[in-house]
Amino acid sequence: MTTTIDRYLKLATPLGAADPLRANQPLGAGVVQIIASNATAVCRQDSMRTLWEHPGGDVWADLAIPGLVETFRWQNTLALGTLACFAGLHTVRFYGERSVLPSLTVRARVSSATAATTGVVVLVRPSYGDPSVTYGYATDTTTSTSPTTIKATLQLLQSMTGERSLSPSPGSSTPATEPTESGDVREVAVFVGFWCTSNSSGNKAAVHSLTLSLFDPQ
Amino acid sequence: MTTTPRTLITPTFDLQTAKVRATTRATHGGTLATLTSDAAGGHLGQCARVFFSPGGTHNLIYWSRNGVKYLAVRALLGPIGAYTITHHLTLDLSARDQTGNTVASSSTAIPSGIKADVQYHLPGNSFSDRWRNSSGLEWWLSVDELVSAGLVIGEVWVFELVISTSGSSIGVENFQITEVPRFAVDSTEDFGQPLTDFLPRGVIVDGSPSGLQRLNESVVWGYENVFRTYHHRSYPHGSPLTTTSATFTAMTGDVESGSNPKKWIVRPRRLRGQSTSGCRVQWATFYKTSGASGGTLRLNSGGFGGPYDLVLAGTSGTWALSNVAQAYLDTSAGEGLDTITFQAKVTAGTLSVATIGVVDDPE
Repeated sequence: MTTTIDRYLKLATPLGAADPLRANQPLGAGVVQIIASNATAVCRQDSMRTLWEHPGGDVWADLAIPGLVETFRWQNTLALGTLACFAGLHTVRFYGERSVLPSLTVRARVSSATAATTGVVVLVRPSYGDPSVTYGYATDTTTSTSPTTIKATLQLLQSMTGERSLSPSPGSSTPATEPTESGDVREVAVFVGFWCTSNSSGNKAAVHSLTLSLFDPQ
Repeated sequence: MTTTPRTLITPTFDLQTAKVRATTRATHGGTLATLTSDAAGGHLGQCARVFFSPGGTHNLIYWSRNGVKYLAVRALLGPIGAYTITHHLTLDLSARDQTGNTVASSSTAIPSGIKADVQYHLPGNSFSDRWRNSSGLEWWLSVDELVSAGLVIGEVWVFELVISTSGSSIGVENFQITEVPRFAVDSTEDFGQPLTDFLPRGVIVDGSPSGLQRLNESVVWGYENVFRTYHHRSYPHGSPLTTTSATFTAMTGDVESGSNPKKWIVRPRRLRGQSTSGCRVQWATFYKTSGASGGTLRLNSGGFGGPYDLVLAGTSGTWALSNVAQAYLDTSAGEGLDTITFQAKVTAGTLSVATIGVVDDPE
């Protein structure tokens, strides 16, 4: 039996004189179920969001070993024909009450170079550091020379993420009444890269509108 | 005021035990309290960001509201080409709100490190490894402190980040200001319920802000006040998106091909079923016009009633925050995706757009 119908049902608040949640009233199963369903749906949905955008650029450099995405040239800058980006360090939560993490999807609009393949790789690691395929990655390619959507999806696993204790210590004017909040979060660092097999600065692929988002688990 | 620490967990509520004609048990209230507190404060995630910057002034748009305690400020500094160790940069963060209240970086609400008080160098010299020698940095902003310093909660805030570089071989790979989930239940706030209200074999504590009614209030808070960021782009003041067109057209810097604007794919929050009016959003921009004439920024989406126009007053060369406009995203598509694009026009002169932000506006 699922906890939620994945749809938010509005309950008036406060519920008024007939409020089944007010004091000394028998607790009806229907209201309890609606609240549980709503709360679980909100927990699921509120974690699914866009994490990062990038306007893109022109790429023309191939993988270091053609066909082997593990050899993507993460060191290159756009001037050298590769778009390699750090897409941020982000907090991720399990998908609602389920012990499964969301999936991570990078999308872009791509016009490939003539007679060439253009590809995207999204790669994750538990924290800041070198981009490496050790933890997990996903890839996609296109040969279309007209703008088309390219998408790479990676189902996040716990091994790809890191747990970190946060103890926020803001500026120096913390009010005396300020309670301290600290706790553990699960994080993932994300890198996104694009390559093109043309290997010619005179035959470039155009990459536009990169978006990195969390989606429902696959 | 009482505060109770909580861990980030979404408990499973077994509906079978709360089925019709079955008696609910004391544990149901406690489980629901944990669940609803998590719905309200455990999934905060509004995020304003800068995708890359070699230096310059950026603005980040943030929709402030009660219930958010801390903002995490994160930056990754890295080399641009071969790094020269004498090259460095400073970060200076200030804030303002819609009313015009400001918090300068010199305020005690802004932590050391992002008040232009530290020269950041990268470790090593004459290297060009972009990542091994990069520096990940983190600071914290207290929303309460920013409010104490003068900002008005509930208004749109604009953070201004000035990246000043000395030398061209260092830049900011990524910068983000993101909400931190709540690690405590605070009885003075409009949501959340301490588990001490649900002691085993005890009577459930009643009365505001306790009692079972708080459960639904917390869920409503999570629905109405946890804003998902759909889109946030920030360009430096020196290279914004621009247009001089008197009719709606794609802005320079935002063109996919020909006269078509870049297409941004978003995944609307689908909590009210599938509909072209299923997801209301609010959006704003940070912009300037070269003269006294105003302009209009347009958001196109699959939502009903569009396109959605944001009328921009002339600013005569001064950067300014726009009003906030509303739009809808389509939640009826199979994958639950919508595509948004932006176009702009200006009566005369040049319209420059530095930042665009789109977040939830639940109804």
